[in-house]
Amino acid sequence: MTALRRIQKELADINKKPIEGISVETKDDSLFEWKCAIKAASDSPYKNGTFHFTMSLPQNFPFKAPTVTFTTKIYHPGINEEGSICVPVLRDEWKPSVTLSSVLIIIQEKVNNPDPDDPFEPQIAALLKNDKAKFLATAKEWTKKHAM
Amino acid sequence: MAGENNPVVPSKLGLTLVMPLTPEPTTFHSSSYNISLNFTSLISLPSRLLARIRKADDFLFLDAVSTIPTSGAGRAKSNALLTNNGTTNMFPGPYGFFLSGYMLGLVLLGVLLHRIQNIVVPPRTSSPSHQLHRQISRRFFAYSTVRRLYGSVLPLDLNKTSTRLAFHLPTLYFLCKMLVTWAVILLQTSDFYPATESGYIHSLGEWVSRLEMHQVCWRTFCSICAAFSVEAFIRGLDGSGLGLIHMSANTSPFNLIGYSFLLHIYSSPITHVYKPPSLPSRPDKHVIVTIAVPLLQLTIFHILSIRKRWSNHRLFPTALSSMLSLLHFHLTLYSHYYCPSTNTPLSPNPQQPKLKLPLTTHWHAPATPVPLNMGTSFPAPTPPPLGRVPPPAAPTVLYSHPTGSASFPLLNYVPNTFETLLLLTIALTIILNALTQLILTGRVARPLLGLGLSGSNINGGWAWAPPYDEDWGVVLLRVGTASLEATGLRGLGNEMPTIHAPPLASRYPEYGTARLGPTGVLHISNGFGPVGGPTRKRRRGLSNEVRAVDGGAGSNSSSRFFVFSPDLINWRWMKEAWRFFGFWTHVTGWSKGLGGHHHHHPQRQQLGENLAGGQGIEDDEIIIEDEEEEQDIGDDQEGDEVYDRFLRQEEISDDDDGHNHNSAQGWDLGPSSAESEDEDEEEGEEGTERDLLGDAEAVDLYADLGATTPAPVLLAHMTRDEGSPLTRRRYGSLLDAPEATQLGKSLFPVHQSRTELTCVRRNCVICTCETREIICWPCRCLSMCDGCREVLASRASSSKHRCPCCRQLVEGYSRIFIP
Repeated sequence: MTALRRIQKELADINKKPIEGISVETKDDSLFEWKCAIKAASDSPYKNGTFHFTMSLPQNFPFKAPTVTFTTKIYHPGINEEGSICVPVLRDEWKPSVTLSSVLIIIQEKVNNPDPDDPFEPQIAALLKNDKAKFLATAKEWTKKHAM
Repeated sequence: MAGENNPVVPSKLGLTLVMPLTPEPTTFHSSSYNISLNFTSLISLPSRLLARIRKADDFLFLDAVSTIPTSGAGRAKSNALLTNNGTTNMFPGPYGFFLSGYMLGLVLLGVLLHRIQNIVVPPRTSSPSHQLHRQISRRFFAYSTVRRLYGSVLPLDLNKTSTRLAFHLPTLYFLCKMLVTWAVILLQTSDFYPATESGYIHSLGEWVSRLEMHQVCWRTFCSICAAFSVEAFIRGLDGSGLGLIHMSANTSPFNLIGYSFLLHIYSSPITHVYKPPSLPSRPDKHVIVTIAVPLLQLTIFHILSIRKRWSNHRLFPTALSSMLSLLHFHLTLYSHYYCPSTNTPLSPNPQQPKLKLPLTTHWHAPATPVPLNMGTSFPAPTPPPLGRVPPPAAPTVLYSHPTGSASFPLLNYVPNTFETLLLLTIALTIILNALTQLILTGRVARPLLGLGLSGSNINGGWAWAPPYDEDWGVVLLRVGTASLEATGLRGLGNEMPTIHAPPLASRYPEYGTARLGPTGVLHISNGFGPVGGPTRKRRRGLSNEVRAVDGGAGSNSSSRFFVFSPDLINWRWMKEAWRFFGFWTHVTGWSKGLGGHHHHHPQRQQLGENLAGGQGIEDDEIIIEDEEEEQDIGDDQEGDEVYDRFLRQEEISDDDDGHNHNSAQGWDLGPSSAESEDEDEEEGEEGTERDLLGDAEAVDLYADLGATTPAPVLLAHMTRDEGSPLTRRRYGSLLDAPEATQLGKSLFPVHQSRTELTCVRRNCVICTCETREIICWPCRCLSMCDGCREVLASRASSSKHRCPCCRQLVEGYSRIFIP
């Protein structure tokens, strides 16, 4: 019950003050599944791409962290092939006072600024570190192929 | 329907009947433990398992048959009984179950339910309402009457109870009929059925007693399947399978496989005990209770599903059936142990085949291949009339009385005992809670404290919100675990006592302490700024936050000492005298020498800090000593340097003095400290302030204070309603407002953001509905309401409670009262 009210409030807050570059909607009739899309910033390697991901909230939210899965393929060192993103706040550092809008902002930050020191995909991270131009090219190519 | 019970294999069994009746216990045992782990045997494992099951079945059957008195007539009769009794030739074992009609029915039901759940889904676009369709259909009166009829009935509105009732009626009729049948059977086998001569009761009794057991079981099974299908259908049409309540249909928490296995076993007359002459036999009455109680639960579920609002209510039926089975269990135990006079002698009926099926060894082997999620009960065949009373310490086997007046299905023990234990634990917790509160506060306010059951913290603890859509077993387990882990000693269940003594951790407490006496504030001690930089500044005035209040009720020993000591030495006077003296030395320009010594202290006083940590009220004395020591020690070292410089005839430190003078001016204009009540102190403060702020940095810090008038700044501080302090940047942004007056700007958005921020800042971060009331120790975050705290407290063990804001370990909590 507390989960419902809190989720409704969060949704209302996000709709009232939308975050730039992120759009959120709920899946069908369930408040526990959110379909979100992030538009990459113009200074990121993925510019002009729109990446979709789903955020599923557990039944005992906010005591348990939500899970985020990317449905659009993205060439990112911190997001693997199945679409899972490695964010500490969603795993160990989750606390009930973390709002979903802050989670979205963190995800946006991570997408726009790929960080090679955080490898979910070691090869991509290595490429980013060693050959940045090639990484940018591949990222652009994948963005064109999947996220446009 | 009768034929379905023995579909495939009577011939095989006929074969075994003809086999010589030599039981083969040895080979059976050896084969059961003969699994060698080489490759071929792994491949052949499934087939060996199957063979073992069959062998076990056959063995049990043979054993049963072999105990039949081997007189020729008896054997013939038993053979005849078994072969000619056309119905169940198969021994009711696991293998027989897999091949029986029950399994087929289960598979079909599973497929049907799955398809219903996935296909019967309300359309996305909302269908027009009933009335609307009626209006539309009226316009097409030119259509045929069939169409009109069709249009006036459909689409159905499934929120109305009458439509749901119409759907449920047939299955409800069948369920109730079976329930009545079982009830009558129970009454008959326990000899409670009223033996009237005529009338409805009599004819009902006659009709029921003519029913064969397998018919009853099979019909029960069918009606349950039908009821499940109807419920799943209705639920699908409702759309309650989607959305927030992702509960799968009623079917899943009920263990239908186990129940139908039960029914299968008791269909066959082999397992029956009660054999009235010339009437079909009946199983033991305890078994009947075990079968009837889940049926009652299912019937209640079915009835509840008629009304939409009740259709998710699960607590009451599950609770009722659990209570009934617990009652049955305890009554049986009671009657067994305390009323031994109800022993009846061995049955005079010699025809009764005595099943000698000791439960110890032989059931183990066949039991292993069968998946052991048998749910509510896995009854053993009824125990033989051994005529011995088992020692009370033997929990596994309970047979003592012939004809089973205390024969109880075996595996009912475990769930019933477990439930009893849980209930006892919960009752113990509640009683202890109530006792504590009654004794200490005179009334029982919150007996359900710590169990995670109370809905909200308002209106006291009797108010609790029973979780209507949870199963009784689940609730019991949850509350039982919470009651076993409930602790008022640590973590989020630990309410900290009222703070008397200021918690002082070091000789340099970061924040101040106020000591109150009977006449008011006696003394405010000061906090110290953080270590870093050349000086460790003592905080004064508005920069000294007083975080602890000592009302004098605190520690005894040190205060006692302190009380005595003024008679001998007037500490306070000494302190003021020292300050006074210090002031004069500063004025005469030895400020640097005296004041700048604080940086030596962290090194020397480290040990002292560690020793003094946690000592409680010795702060004042320590601080006083510090002051004196500081200045003493500082004198020794820095004084030398100044003296050296003096000796070298260099100019002695005019920079600091010059800066100090500027800042002193700033201080004169600034708001006077409200904390100190002594004039001497103020003057002394000024002086020591000067020496403490002997840096260029300090000048910059206070430069703007000196430059501008303080009134607008003060006003901005006072009219600000947000939780975070007014920093320079924020103040600057206030000033940069494009509108006319800064006050005008600050009023409007402050008003708007005030309500918004108030909402956000005052509400619990977890539920965002209630106001915050709980602070955690030692981190002191005010972030939760009491309800959420309780939920958190009952969720994890107390050693792992973390503050929901800062994630530090929580040692205790306190309530904050905001009047």
